[in-house]
Amino acid sequence: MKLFFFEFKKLLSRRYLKFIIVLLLFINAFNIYENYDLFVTPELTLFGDEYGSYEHMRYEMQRSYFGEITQEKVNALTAHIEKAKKAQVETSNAPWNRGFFRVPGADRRAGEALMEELERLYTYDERIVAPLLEKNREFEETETSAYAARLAGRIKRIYSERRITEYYRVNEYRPLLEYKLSSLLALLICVYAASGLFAGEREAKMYALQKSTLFGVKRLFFIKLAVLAVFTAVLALVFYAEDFAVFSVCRRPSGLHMPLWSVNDIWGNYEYSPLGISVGGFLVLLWPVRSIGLFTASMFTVLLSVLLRRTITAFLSSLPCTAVLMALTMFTDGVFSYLRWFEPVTLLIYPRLAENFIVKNVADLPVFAHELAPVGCALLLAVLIALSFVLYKRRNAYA
Amino acid sequence: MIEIKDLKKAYGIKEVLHGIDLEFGEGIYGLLGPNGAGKTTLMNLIVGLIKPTSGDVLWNGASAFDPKSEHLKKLGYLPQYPEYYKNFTAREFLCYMSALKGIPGKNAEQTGELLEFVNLESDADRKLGGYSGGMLRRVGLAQALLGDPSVIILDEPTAGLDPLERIRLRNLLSEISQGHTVIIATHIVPDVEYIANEVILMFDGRIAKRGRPRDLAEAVNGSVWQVKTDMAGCEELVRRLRVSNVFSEGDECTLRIVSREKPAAGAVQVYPTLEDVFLFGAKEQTP
Repeated sequence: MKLFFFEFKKLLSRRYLKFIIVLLLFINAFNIYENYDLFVTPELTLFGDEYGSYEHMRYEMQRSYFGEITQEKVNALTAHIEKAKKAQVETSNAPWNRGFFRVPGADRRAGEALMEELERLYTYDERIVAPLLEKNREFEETETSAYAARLAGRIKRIYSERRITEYYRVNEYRPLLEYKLSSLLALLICVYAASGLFAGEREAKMYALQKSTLFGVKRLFFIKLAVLAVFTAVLALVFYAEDFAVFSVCRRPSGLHMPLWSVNDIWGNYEYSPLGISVGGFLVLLWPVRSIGLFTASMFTVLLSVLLRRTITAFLSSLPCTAVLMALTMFTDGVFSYLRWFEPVTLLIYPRLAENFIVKNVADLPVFAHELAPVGCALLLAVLIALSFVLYKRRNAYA
Repeated sequence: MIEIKDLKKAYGIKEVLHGIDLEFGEGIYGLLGPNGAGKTTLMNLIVGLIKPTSGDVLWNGASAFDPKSEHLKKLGYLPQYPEYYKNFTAREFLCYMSALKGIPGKNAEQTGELLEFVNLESDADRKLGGYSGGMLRRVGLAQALLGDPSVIILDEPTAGLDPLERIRLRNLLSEISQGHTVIIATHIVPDVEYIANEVILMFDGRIAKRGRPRDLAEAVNGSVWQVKTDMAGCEELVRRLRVSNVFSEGDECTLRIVSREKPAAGAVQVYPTLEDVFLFGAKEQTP
């Protein structure tokens, strides 16, 4: 424990590290505000801001329909839309005070969009589940292999009970789920921290002294990795907590308890997701998954830190290596399509867990993408740790 | 007891140690040699940090290169020029080293004692980044003494220190030598001249001579001369012979020369010091 504490102190004492963390946290928050904000900066509307910005008004309208989707609410919304349509025609869209917005046209458009969303949620089982189960039934009847039977059984178990009966601003969580910058900034910090893990000992000329002690090889090596892992996880938590906080202020999402598959995107990634978890649960799950991705990506830097003599050389060499890892995520065809199963940066920048389900046959067992990627990454991590340790043990204390 | 048996080390085709045979028991051993003699390589092999090309290092009969070797439990080591961690205090650094050495947790007392022993108690809670070279060396000695190891190996412990710090460190080493094996590798003769029980002269990866300082000096008695001459004569002698010291005063200079034959008319024999022995050994190694 003492050794862990001292190694953690050493890591945090890296020059400029604390400054870099604060700076990048600020940049991250600013980026979210600049690109995703709907509420913090009031919109100046053509009609003045007597009733607040458009988004505020839209939020008030949506908030009045939060909760269970009932026939009464649908009727009330329909009536409101009709009223707005009528006023728009009769008064040529002159300002009114019988809705959420300044003008009836805005009430009508927002109302219709809200109705569409209510319909999308309420008809989830008709639109998505029923056709999927039908296809599954046909698949089960035509394919007779053991794998097919297992896959069909799994799909039935996962999808047959799915319903959505509530409405919340759950789609406003989608930018947060897909937000990448914080992960990439955290990765940069982890690479910087990892570069000094072993090269720093050579720079301080402590390498030989450590290796001459009882615990200066194996135990120290794994304690340093444990320190990096904890640092990575805590850093990720800080960044993702910041993301959540700033997005909450800028977008006012709601419905953390809503199922993940209630979130909408044009590719149906979430609606078809096999992951039976709430949006809140998924956000929490993203933390350890992304932490594994961060730690694994940082292990390439650790390897360089073991091999090289200077921290700055290890850091600068890591940058192109990290850039290659990031670039590889863009290739999804041919042989590169297999990379996604253990490429650590994919865990950071794609919410792979919620992918429109891709299934692989692993020893006649149907395995989903969200199950494979973290496992593949963990295998890569194990290989990198083993390789780093062997090189660390063999490295000449004075080399 | 540490035994070194026919130890050889080569880096590629370059052989840096040529068949070293040595034993170390209790006492202070001074490993004396010029830069590049192979002292640090030998120290690293004794500690087990690097593997030999051939030969072995035995600690009480067990090879230092055996993965199950327990020699590290008996070892206190101070390598050349460590820079430590600038953000650690001396007390924190000793705690850190205690943890690395597997010394049980409740060692605060020993840390305090060691800091007192090396005269750093009042600076114990200052960061190492603010320490002078001499203070850092004393921290290095203190960490080498953690856990009361039976073998203490110090590589160039006084390099870069002023005379006062060197004397202080030498005295500390004398104090701790009772009941311990202390091996000091250095190229600074006075570091070991007054405290070593045995001096080992090393040149070009070979042991040239070993013995008590007095005995080594006696062995070259009759080969050290003092000559007074003018400046022209001085230049000629310096060019031709191995001169250990030149003292100039006005137009005259007094030279201390190491030579088997009388180097010049008027040369008188003087009793050798260990420095003369060192120079004599270096002269013999040079073709």
